[in-house]
Order: sequence, then C-alpha cells, then structure tokens
Amino acid sequence: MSICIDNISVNNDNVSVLTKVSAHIHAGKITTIIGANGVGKSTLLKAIIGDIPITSGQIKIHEQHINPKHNDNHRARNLAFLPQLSLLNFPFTVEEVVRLGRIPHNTGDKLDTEIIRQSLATMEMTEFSQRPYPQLSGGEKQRVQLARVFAQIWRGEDTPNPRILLLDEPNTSLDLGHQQMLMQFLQIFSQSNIAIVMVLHNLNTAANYSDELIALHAGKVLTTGTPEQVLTPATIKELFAINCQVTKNPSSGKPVILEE
Amino acid sequence: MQSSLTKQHKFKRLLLIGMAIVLCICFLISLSLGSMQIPTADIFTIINPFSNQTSESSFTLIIEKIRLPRALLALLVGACLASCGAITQGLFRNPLADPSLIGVSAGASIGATIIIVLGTQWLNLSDFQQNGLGLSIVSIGAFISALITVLLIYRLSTNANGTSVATMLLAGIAITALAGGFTSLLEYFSDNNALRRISLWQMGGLDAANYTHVTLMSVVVVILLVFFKQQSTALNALLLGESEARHLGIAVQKTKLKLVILVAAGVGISVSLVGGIGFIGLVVPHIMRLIIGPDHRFLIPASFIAGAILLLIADTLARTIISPAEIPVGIITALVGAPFFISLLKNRHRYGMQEA
Repeated sequence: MSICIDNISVNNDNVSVLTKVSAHIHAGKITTIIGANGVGKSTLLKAIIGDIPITSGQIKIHEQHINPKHNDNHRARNLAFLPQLSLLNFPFTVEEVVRLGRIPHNTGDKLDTEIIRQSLATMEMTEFSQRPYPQLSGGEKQRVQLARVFAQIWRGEDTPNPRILLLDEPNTSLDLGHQQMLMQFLQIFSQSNIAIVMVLHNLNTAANYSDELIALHAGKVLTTGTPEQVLTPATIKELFAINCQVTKNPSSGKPVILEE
Repeated sequence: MQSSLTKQHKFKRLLLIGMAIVLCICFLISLSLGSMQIPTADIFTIINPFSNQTSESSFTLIIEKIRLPRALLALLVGACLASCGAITQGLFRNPLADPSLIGVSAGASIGATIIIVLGTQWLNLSDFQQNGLGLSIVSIGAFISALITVLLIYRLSTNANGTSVATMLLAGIAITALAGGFTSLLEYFSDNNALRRISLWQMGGLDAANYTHVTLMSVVVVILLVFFKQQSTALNALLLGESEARHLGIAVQKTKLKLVILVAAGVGISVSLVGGIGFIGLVVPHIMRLIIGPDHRFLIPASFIAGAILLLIADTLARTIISPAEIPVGIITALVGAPFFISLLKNRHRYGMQEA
C-alpha cells in the first residue's frame, strides 16, 4: 500500500473541512477523488503532500508518517504534486521549467535532458521546448507543468519506493484531444507501479480511466470503490443534487452518466 | 536538444567571460580618468605588486590613495547591490522587486539621519570623523538601523506557518513609509548644515572610499557569492511557487531566512558605506534576465559583473563630468537608470514578460 489515510480530520480556522476521512491508495492504480465544489478534494491532496496540517488522524506514505515541516529531498524523489494554479511568471523556456522537476535527483545533465525530452513528448510539447513559458496558452502551460511532474518521478531506479503522483484537476484548460492523450498516458504510466491520485470534475472521464473512486461529500467519504460501484444514480444525486441515468459505454463497458 | 542545451550553456558562459573582460577594461579606464589623466602603462606599474618601482610619484599617490580604493569600492558595491537585487526579485517572484522592498534603504536612511542630526547638531560631533576602524559613525548608525528595520519586517511577516513574502512586501511598504515620516520629522527640526549633509548622504557617493571600506565590502561580497551560488537551484524552484519548491525537496523556510539575512547584510552594509544608490539593484538583474534568462545559476554571476561595471562607469562619470568637482553617484544612477527602466517597461512584451 502506497498511501494509508487513517481517520484524518482537517480544520481551517475552526471550520471543519475534512472529517474522519480514511482511504487506502495502491501503487499501479489510478484513484480519482470526485465531489462537488468545496467538499475538500484539494484539501485531501494537500494533506497527503503535507501542505496543510491535519487536526487528527494520521497519513502514512510508504509506512512512514508525513511531517509537514519536513519535506525532504528523499520524499521529493518519489512523490510529485501538480497544483491547480501555476504562478510562474519568469521567462524560463519550456525545457527549463521541466528541468526543475529533476532538482531532487542528481542524475546529471545528460540523463535529465533525455528524461525531459521524453516527458515533453508525452504531452506533445516537444517543438515548444525553447519557447518562453509565459508566452504559452493556458492549456500549453498545463501540459508543461504536467511534463514537469512526470519528469520528477520518471524513473523507477531513482527511488527505492513505489512512486506517487498527485494531480489536482489535471484536465483543466486542456482540449478534448489532449485530455484523452493525458488520460491514456496516465493509464500506461500507472502500470509501472505508480500510484496516481487525482481530482476530476468530469464523471465520465473519471469512470473511464480510474481503478478506484473516492466520493467526498461535505468533508466526509460518502463511498469508495470501482467506478461501477460508486457511480449510481443515487450516489450522484447525493453528491451533486442532480437527477441522471447511468448506462454502459458500449465499447469500454464503463459507466456513462446521462444528465436528465 | 542535448546540443541546444550545451550550446546555450556555452553561450552563457562565454557571455560571462566577455563581461568579466569588459569589467577589467572599465576598471583600468576608471583608474586612468580623472582631473589628472594617467597613462595605462603607468597604472600597470603602479598596481603591479611585484614591480620593484617604489617611487612616490604623484601618479602613484593618486592611484593608490584615491582612485584604486574608490574604483574597487564602486565595483564591489555595484556587484553586491545587483546580485542582491537578483535574489530579491527571485524571492518575491516579482521581476520588478528591489532590495529596498525589505526596508533596508529606509532603515539605513533613518539611522544616518538620526546620527547626522543628533550627532552633529546637538552633540557637535563631526559626522565624517572616522574612528580607529576607518568607518564613520554615520555608517555604523545606518547599518544598525537597517538591520533593526529588516528584523522588524521579517518578524511582522512570519507566523507559525512560515514567512509570507506577500506580507513582507506590505510590511516593507508600511515600515518604509513610517521610517520616511521619522526622517522627514528629523529633517524638519534640523539646521541647514545638517539638512545638506542628510541630502548629500541620501544621494549616495563613493568619495569617502578607503581600504577599510574595500576590505569590508570584499568580505561581504565573497560571502554573498558563496551562499548565492549554493542557493541558486533553490531560487529557481522558488520561482514556481513556495509549495512547489517544497514538493521538489527544497527547505523553503530555511532558504528564505538565509536569503533575507544575506540581502539585508549586503545591502545594509553597502548603503551604510556609500549612501543611497538606487536603480542598480532593480535595473541590472532585470536587464540580465532579458539577456541570459531567469536561471539563477547564470543570472546571479551576470548581475554581479554587470552591477560592478555599471557602478564603476557611473562613478567615473560622477567624478569626471564636472571635474574637479563631482556629482553624487546616486544622481547619475537614477538619471540613467530610470529612463532606461521606463523603456524596458514599455517594451516588456518583447522580452516574454507577462502583463501581470
């Protein structure tokens, strides 16, 4: 088990954001957190990475407690996080931005350059490699940031533990084609024993590509399980207050949500 | 791509070497120019420590006692201000930030004013009187108050969650305004003589340069260079954002504390010794970023050398334009720096800067 979340609660200025959340996240699987705005999806990711302190309960990564004050180089070699917003405003080239992902490793310029080339290729950003990052469109920036977090945990040899990738709404500002490209890459990437945890809003995308879903409602886990187990009309109604039908995707057999 | 990276690094290294050569040339020109022209050949003989010539000619005196310490101080202060500027801009993730943002200049200014007004007006001390160390009491006062100001701002912006650079910026503005108010109050109650001294100090000048200043600045500059070199990767990561840097394994809080202390000490000592010299810390790193890119591994040395060149040229102009009289160098840097900076702002879209 890569991440063990045991009964955690998070308070922000005495307002409870997460209450007694438990979940197990496994290497080699894609786990997606779903839920309405403000139910604590991003908070859960930030608690895992150690950006915000947990009020009670515990989180263990590779059987070790996380320490928010002490995010060391060792951890950075197997744990990468893509936040929702990127603030980078300095004219780094695309290649330089992705190279920042290699900071935790001492693998040398030559190998890093090869890793950067490969991770840029997965996001179809190869020909942008010498362009200044601030001049890119929103979707292109997102693809560069994705390539940066991929580069951070690119090689299994760089760390003794299974790698973990946390993505907060990685689909934001990507067009449909690049959304599919990203999701298909994540599926392949996770198969090299990487635990991927992400927040998604599109339930059909979540159903299509996830192994596990965690449905959050008002700071609590409503239900967890495979997409088929979680995505029922009743659960969706409770999560989002909408009526819908759930059918099967004729080609993949995964659940498809039809709004009414 | 491998080759393009190597090529880029090679270009950047060549650029740094080229700039270092320009610095050496400027240094020699600066030594030779002045109210008395000294041929370069003579300069080589005079500054060569292995030469056997021991003649106490007037050339030797002018170079050794006046121009050499002054030129050295100019390049050290310029290098220090510009590299501190590069660090500040990285730390605040704002390409238009200036080292004075963290309150050093305002703090130094209030200390210098207090010493000038209280010391010379009421206690009848001579403010340019040097003690055994060759430092004026104005410098010492300026440094102490610069340090207190920075510590105050740092405390204001630090809580249990760490230091917020956004709060630091606001606290810096507030404390700078407060210090400005106190300075004005003191000026209001000071006599004409003290007023003139305050205003001259604020314009900045290198005319008081001596070897104590040079030694002190050399030590500061060497320490800064060593630490800045260590922190350049961390600064690159910090440009992504503080959380992102932490996720890359950077000890963010420690890095911030170290950098704030170093910038405060570097700028504090510079300002104490030579007064307010504006625009070097703002303009030089900004221009260098446009030429060499935001990677701090190259940006810091580039700013360092360019700052040295710029202040050396500015000071040479300051003491030759209306020779034998001279203009405070702060006026030159402001008069040249500000219009240049305005032109950069107008054309910033060309350099890939975002309209933020």
